[in-house]
Amino acid sequence: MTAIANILDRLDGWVNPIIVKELRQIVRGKFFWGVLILFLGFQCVVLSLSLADQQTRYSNAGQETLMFLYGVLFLASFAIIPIYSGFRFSRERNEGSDELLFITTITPQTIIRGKFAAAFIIILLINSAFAPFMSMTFFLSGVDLWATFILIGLGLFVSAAGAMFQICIGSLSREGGSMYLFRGAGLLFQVITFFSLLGMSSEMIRYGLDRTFNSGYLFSSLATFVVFMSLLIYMLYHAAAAVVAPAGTNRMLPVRVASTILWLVTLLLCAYWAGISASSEIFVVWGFLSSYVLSMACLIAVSERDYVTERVAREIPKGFFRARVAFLFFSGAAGGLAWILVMQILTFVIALVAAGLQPSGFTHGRGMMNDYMLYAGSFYCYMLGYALLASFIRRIFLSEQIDIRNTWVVALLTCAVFSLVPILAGGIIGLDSETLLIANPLYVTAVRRSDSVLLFAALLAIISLIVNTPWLSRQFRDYYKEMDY
Amino acid sequence: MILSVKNLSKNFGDTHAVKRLNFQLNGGDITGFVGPNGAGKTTTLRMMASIEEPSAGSIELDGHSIVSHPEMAREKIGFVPDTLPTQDDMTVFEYIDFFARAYAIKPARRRGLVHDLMEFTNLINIREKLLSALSKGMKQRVSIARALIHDPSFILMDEPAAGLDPRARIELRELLRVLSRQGKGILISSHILSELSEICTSTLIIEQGAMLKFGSIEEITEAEVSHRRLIIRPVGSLEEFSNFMILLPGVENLVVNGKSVEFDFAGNDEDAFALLKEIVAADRKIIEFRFRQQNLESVFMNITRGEVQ
Repeated sequence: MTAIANILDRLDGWVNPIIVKELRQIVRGKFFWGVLILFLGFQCVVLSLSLADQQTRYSNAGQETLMFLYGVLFLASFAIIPIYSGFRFSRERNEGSDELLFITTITPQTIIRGKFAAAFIIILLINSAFAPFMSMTFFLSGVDLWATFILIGLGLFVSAAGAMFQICIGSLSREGGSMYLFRGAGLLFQVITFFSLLGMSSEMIRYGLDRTFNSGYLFSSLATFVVFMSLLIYMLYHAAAAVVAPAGTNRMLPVRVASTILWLVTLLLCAYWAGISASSEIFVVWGFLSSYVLSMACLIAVSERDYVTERVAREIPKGFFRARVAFLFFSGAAGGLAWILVMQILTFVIALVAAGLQPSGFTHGRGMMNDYMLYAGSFYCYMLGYALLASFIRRIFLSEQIDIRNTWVVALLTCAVFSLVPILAGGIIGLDSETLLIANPLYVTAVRRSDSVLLFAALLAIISLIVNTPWLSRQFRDYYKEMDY
Repeated sequence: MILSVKNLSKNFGDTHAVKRLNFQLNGGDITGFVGPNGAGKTTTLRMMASIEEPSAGSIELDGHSIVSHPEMAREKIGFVPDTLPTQDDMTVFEYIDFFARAYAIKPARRRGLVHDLMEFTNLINIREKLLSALSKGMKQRVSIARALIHDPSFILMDEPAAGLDPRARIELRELLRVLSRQGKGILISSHILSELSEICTSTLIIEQGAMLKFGSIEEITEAEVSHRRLIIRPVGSLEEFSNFMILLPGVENLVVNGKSVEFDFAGNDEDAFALLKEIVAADRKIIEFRFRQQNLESVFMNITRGEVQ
């Protein structure tokens, strides 16, 4: 065997089998060729017309042409290919053909990596096919070459994130109603994001990079963007792998680790930008966003398994401290809720310290913290309360009909019922009071009656915690029983 | 190598899909897995293939739990599910090659292995055909080839004969015999009991998730039937012969069936021989004396009630 054959053989053994399978299937399909030929033809026609028009040489029509070509490229690479990849994965999940992979030596992570890499290769292929056409716009007037390159680079990053998002949505869409719900929501999100990003891109082409980033810190802004997008992809990757992983595995561990890393790195990015802007306000914004995301995670936590499986038990680390910390990160409803609580407290403390450091003075800082407590605090209490209440309702009344993994649906329905029924009842009996809206988590954004909202949300969370105490403490006990001292 | 199932249970909410199953498979055995629809066969097979996790009990491969170490099952167990391959836009070769890659088989070995396996399962002439263009029987072969790619010691098959034409069934039977001769243990669930009787060395019968019988087909049929049915064909008047027979000890429920009489005989082989001697001594002429063959179908119908959970 020659050296080259040897290397090729090694490469063949090294390459992810999912990539090989996906590329074979995609390239065989009419869809891919249809999109490629149609869009290339489109680019060719538009560019020819622009170049043929002599007037373009004396105006800014180069920008217009570039924007148009970029729009077509971005449609293919951010919208069509990611949605197609997610749809294919969703169909495989629906047919159950991915299950056979779990009796091979392949891991859920390998599957997601393979799906993502295949989608990204197709995106790269489309970008490289379109790039020559786009570079031709340089012969027209008004085109900033650097802006074009950076735009394409950023577009690639965003498209990669879009592909991973759609793969994540595809992993969720297993069967029946949820499949259509998730697919629909994913599609809607991708389309809305597409138009928003297209708007930003046209701004970059029209006004150049400096004005778009508006800071004078172009490379810092780009680096922040790249780091954030990479972490988002990393987070979505683990989330998709967790959904795909067999139920008995410790599948939430990588998700919680990735979420903690995302939390920590965004915190560091905030510290960097706070240093540059000499204002700690960004920490409070970060605190708000983190807290909202963590609050929503309560719905996921209560939908997790509520017992320790054999596969999870054998992964519990030895040692008093490590075993207890592992409880927060390992799969399990109680562990998930505990992890969220710890993260919420840390976020709150950091935001509190940051608000105190605000140079504009203590009063301003205290105002920010009041808002933080009211909005983020009450939202956490609402989500925790509804999530736990839903868990209680499902266990006591609906354990036969609804699986634990669908507790989040019960939580959303409970929230909807609590939010709507008082208003409807009030309408029937002719009572018109703002207080009827108090069970709605979004009520707080509409009024300034902070005390009553916070009090109601806290009461809801406390009552839900009390009725779920036996369930939660049973999970703590089960875990500690499995610990090896 | 032994694959043993101990007190295996699986609950879905309050439904007990599988209840404390106990049995074991040995290399080279072909065990038929029989039960009415909804008896828990597929759930049991999926647990053994490490797709589902048991609620209780264990599945052990040579004493090692594959519940806590499923990677062991993946190396030693091949699984043919009750669904056919759905990747319609892949060729036969691509599909098998993909699973060979998924089992991390090295490229040099993989090429030969895929080729040999396609030859063994008679797929070599259709290697470039898309899965969408294959018949059900051919797709089943592809599924079996996929399950064999990593040379497993045990093969679990869920309804592999369902929907196959007679030729495909005969070919499947032959394939199973060859695999058994290679020392592979096979657990095969099927509703076609006559076929199972022909190829299986043992049978496991379950209903409503619980095991009813486990053992060789002979053991099960003999243990299950207390009254064997004896068929005698006399020469001459059937009515006269029937009147004679009905008075003999151990003869019950006698009926005339065509040119023969048929009755339940409560006795062993020695008693049957004594009966034959008595008939001959009475100068009755007979040209046929045999027990009706008990088969898996009759045993199955006797011991199951067809109830689902």
